[in-house]
Amino acid sequence: MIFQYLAFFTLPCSFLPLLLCWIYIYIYVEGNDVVFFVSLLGGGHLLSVVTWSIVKAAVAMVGMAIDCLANPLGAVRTMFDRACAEGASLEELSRTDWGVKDLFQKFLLQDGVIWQVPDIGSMDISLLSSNSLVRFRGMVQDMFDVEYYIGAYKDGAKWLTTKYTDVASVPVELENDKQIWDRRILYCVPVPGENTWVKQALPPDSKTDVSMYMSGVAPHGEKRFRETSSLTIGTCDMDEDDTFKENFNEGKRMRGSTTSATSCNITDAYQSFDFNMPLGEAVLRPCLVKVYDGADAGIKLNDVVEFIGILTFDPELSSAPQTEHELSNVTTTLLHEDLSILMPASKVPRLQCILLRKLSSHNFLSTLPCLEENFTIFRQTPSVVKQARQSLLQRLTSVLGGDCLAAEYLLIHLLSKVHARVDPIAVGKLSLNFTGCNAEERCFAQNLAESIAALLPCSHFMPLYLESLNRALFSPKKDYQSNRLITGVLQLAEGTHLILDETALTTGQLNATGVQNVQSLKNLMEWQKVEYDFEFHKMEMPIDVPVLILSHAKSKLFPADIIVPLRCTGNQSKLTHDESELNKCRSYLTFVRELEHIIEPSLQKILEDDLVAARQEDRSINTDTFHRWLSMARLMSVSFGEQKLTIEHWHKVKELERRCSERLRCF
Amino acid sequence: MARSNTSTPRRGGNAAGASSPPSSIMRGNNDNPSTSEQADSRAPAANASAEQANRRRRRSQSGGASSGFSPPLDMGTPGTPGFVQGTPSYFNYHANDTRGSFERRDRRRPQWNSMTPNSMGDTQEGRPSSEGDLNMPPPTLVWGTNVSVQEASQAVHRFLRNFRDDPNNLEGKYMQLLEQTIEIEGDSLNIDARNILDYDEDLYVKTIRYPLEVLAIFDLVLMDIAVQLKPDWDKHIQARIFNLKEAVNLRDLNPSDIEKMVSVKGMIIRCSSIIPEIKEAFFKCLVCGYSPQLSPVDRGRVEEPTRCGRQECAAMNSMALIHNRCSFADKQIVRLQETPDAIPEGETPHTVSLLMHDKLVDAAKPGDRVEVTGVFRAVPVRVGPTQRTLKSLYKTYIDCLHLKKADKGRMQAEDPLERNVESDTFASFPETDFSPAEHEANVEKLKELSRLPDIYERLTRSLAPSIWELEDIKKGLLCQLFGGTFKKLESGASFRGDINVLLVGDPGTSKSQLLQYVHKIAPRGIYTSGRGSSAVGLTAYVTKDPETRETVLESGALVLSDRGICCIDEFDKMSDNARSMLHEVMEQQTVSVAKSGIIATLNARTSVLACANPSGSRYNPRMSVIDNIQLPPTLLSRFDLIYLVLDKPDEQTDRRLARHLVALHYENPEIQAQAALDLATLTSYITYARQHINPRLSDEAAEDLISGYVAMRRKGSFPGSSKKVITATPRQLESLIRISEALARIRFSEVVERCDAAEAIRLLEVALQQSATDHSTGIIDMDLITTGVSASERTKRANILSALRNLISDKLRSGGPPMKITLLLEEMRKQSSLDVTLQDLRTALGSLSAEGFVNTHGDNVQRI
Repeated sequence: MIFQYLAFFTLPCSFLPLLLCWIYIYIYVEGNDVVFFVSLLGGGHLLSVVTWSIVKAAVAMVGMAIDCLANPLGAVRTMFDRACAEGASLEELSRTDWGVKDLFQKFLLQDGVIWQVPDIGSMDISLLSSNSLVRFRGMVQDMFDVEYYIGAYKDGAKWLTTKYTDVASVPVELENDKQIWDRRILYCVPVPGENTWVKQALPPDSKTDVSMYMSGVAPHGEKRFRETSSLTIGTCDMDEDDTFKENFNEGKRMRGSTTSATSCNITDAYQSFDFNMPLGEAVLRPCLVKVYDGADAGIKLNDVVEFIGILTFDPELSSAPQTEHELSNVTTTLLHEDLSILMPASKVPRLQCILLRKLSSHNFLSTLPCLEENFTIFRQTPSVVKQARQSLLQRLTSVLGGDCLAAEYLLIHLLSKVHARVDPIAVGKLSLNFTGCNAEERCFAQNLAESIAALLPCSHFMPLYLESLNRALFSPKKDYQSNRLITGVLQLAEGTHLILDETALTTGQLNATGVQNVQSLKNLMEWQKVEYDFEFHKMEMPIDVPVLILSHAKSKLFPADIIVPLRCTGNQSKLTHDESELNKCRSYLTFVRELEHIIEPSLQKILEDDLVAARQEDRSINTDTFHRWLSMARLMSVSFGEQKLTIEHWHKVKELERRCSERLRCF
Repeated sequence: MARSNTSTPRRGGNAAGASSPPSSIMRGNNDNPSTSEQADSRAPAANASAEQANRRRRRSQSGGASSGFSPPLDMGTPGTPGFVQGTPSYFNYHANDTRGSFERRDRRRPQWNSMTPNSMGDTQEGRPSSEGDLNMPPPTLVWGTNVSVQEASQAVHRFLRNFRDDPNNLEGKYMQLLEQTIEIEGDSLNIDARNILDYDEDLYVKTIRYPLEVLAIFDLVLMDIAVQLKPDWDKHIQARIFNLKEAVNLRDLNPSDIEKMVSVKGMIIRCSSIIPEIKEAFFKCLVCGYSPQLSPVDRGRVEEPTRCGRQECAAMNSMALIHNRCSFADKQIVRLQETPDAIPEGETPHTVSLLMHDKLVDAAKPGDRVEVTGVFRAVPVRVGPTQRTLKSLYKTYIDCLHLKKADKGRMQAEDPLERNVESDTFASFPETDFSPAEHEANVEKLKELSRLPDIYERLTRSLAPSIWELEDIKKGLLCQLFGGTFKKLESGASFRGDINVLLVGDPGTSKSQLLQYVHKIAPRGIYTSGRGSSAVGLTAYVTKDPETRETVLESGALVLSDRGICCIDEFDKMSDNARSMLHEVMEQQTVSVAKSGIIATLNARTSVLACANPSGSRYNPRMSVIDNIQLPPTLLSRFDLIYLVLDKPDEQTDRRLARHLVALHYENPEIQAQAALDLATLTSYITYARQHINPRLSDEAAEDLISGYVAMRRKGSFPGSSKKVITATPRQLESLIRISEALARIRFSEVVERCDAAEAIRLLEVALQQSATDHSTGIIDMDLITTGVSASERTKRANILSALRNLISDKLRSGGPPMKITLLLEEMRKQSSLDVTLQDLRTALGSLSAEGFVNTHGDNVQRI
């Protein structure tokens, strides 16, 4: 039966297919089989008879029965009824999803359909009707306890399900005619530090199409659409350069202020409830995701996940005034700390997850239409990768004021990631420290941060103000009072780039929090781990965050793997805003980061010899140096799109290191 | 058997009343008066008292929406012997105990007919006969289950009366315990579920599946027996079942566990304040002062009499509740969180609420690790008090039956010597979650490992495999992890078994990584950095509790790592004040606090693993070891092993390092092969050894240790070296003993053998690079490390050489007759003040002949 539904969706939405559909639905309602369907089709004369209004009626019917997009719950119900009809035992019903997942999977696999599903992260949810299919991409910030609910109950002789709904009114009298099932609740926030270009790169139809399918729900779809687009994109109609700058500055201002220790930038509306945004992006919206059937098994904290599911809105839950005063009561808070009560549904939408997909920045970006072709080109013609590297290098050089060496290092650094953990070492991390930055040249740091933000999907610029160090919570902490994980700046998704501006630091005293924060940052750099404070015990969470430090002299607080003194020869220019060029660079960085890398045994021998020789020559070369060289060698050859280490790249690394140490000696 | 379903009072009790809709209860959903009657009066009890039942029934008729929780434990009303009341609640709610059997639940609720057992059977009407012969009319079945009341109570009777730990015991184990309980007027009896399992598996299964019903039967039977033992006994004895066959992981609780008995392990994170729950209400007539009997509270409802019970008075609405003459019971809500080790990586811990009653209230504090046995329950969340619909959501909690404090560190921290030996019902639980058989198998595996000839090397390799080389340091750390045996003399003196290790060395020699690793596997490890630690932070400090304003003692790192390893990084950066605090800890293993009126001595039986950079941040070969370390000798002597981690230029090690790192970066399987044991095996190996192996010194080994110590002493007493080298003190002898014990433990050997002693001496020497230390100056000779000859040795040789050259030029002519070497030696000794040995002479001659100055044939020397 499923493929028949799908047949409907694959057809372009024009008059004829709708009609066919209607015919099919008719058959479905009648419960007849396909043969009848075909015969009806044969009678083509029917088509001419049916008027537009009938088509509309058909659409309404479709919506009722199988519209996965606008009425997913209907689809769920259909599947459930069918499973019941097929005589599945209750046990089976509770364990399986009655084919719902498959249905939606097939539905979404069709071309472009996924982009038609509205993304609640980017649009005003008041425009969405509840119980419609939505998308949400975010980072798992907290995992709440399992929720038990009546999954199915018997109304008369018929079993009904409440799966994929938030709450359902179930008659109290139900005694034994009910099934209790469980679901996991994940609290997700939009990917922290995600740069504006990512959102802009999302296919535009995700917003435009909203009006289309919503027209049935909202009569003024046209008007709403305009609102939506202006709300989400903000500055769509500005010209490209301005948009970039504006958005960027806005973003930076916002983040800057959070880190500069003021939590008061959170608007009044949000004061009542802490949304736990790691970087305090108050304009973005978190989401409460309910996951069924243990689909969350592979999901870990701080994973970036895309959820597709049903948006539910239950006014009773969010506006339960009688529960307010009870929260003060110890008993009730302990037993009934229903966190959802604290989260108004208008601000924290509920999503009943049907499908979920773990996203790495690679597999997400490579599906974006504007970057997609770049990836295919890279895959096919390796020489293009080298060209992209060259052009990116030039850009970085100009950003760094003509310092070619620093640009090489920066490129390698941007590609670095932890590719293995051999306890306790995180192999592959490569933090970078640019020395020679002055506090006066704040615009340099700003500029560099902007450039990196324009290249990487997620990045965060963090000027280290003394007061922010002393006040902000860096590593997350469990608050048992509210039973939530209070987020910290260091709760970041994998691959987020962190820029620390040490020049912003002024003399003064660090208090206990400050010392702890510095320690957390140090730990992060050294082990790529963040310690989460669970009051009675600490939990180390692995994290993969490349750190770039800008400091005047070699950073004493945060010892980096590589120290490169900057030598600007020319003016530090900004990154050009040629979108297609930038897209190329973005795709390049993402593409190359994911490349596998190996080394041939013969070269391994040479490497070993070289290392030994270097150590015999200079006793100050130690394990750390070796680690650095090997990481660099790997990244160097990867940056050329090569998957095997070659001797040239190894020599190039050594040459870089030689030039760098020469510079260091001069300083 | 009454289980009055009392809960938070609606009226009366001052309790932090959960008189609010969300806390309403699902038990029986008794808000429907018509059903509550049936519910209330369906009793499993055989010897039911009809009168009482009727009283109950009447009361419950007026009962409306009930709220709060119904403890399964607070059994009825004390002072009403023979109460045999159907527990209304447990009949009604079995929503999920048997999934998939909804046909059964489909049925109408059975009607209450009368109190006789036979008619009880009739309550099964409408039950499909397919339920099998269990349904046959005669046995009284608890509704919705296959528990027959008579059968079950007989089984319980049999079990309680007949179960014996030891077949030789005359009296049953639980009869003895019950007698004790009666003697001390106790109110509960702990019953080991494993005993039930051993005795009667069917009963065990029933207990797990239908805990409420079976517990009621248990209590009933206990009452019966108690009354038989002591006729005037009128207190209620509650059965607390514990030690289930398997403890569920908190994470794995699921809807199918609802209404089952479960046992979970976790850590308590929050406790509510004690909630007084009214049990019996006391009323007094405001007009005449008459007060009727205490009226028991049923399911949180206090029924206020509408008129005075005294005939003469009979005033309307005159009865008032007198709070302080009511009886209350304690209740507490506690939140339990998964133990850190049960949390999968990358997830946040799960929590569950516990409901504690009576004796269990305040039995555990936040932070305690406990194993809880109880009934897992779910209550629906009601939208509004008046609404007839439920939100489809449920809240779950565990109704606590038994609570056991357990402390399981990453490695078992408990010292076997200090293990509690309490009465058998409180006997400590098996160390693992495995069944005994599995546990046996595991132990056997470990023992097999221990029999491997190269186990010592294997373990060394498995320790921090990512860190290259440093074999000897790893061996030292291994000894620290295993520890020596703790000795307590009869005189009261005790000797620590913990081994303290200090790593001093050049930067970039992976000291911190070693620390991190040890911290990771050590039991109750604490990791601090010397730079950030203050003296009080390490030991203990007094602070004001922000809530209670009381002065409380907060433990510092060392106290917290009691029976563990305290890792202190950057030991040299620590303030002197803080370091001096370590003196007491490292030898006496206690922390004494005397401030703010608190005088206490806290245990800090911890091993210290510290690492430091040399005073000049790099080891200065021109200075002596002592000068390089720059720590007070008082503190130094407390470290059993002091490792100098020097960056030695050696091509071989460099090559190994290079290979290691290249492999690390390119995921070469070589590394994996190196680690002989995985982390889990390693920790369980260490844990087992620490718990079960307590080696003793053998005489030969003792002999060897003594001679080794004497040799060390002698080295230290080299003239003029008193200040320059770390001299051996009696502490070093203790260290030797501890290390050799640890080495024996590694082999799972109960006896310290000579080989252990030899290795211990070697480790101690290697640690300080004593072989390379020039004892005359206290300077480590870098040349000695590279060439094997010390600098002073070389000058001595040069002196001998020149003296010999002169002698030979004097005594021998070129081409003349040869001279005996012994003669030459005598001449040498005569002429020079140098202390020349034959060996020295031979070496000198060797170099001379290499020069072509002399010729040697056997013992004859001839000048060319």
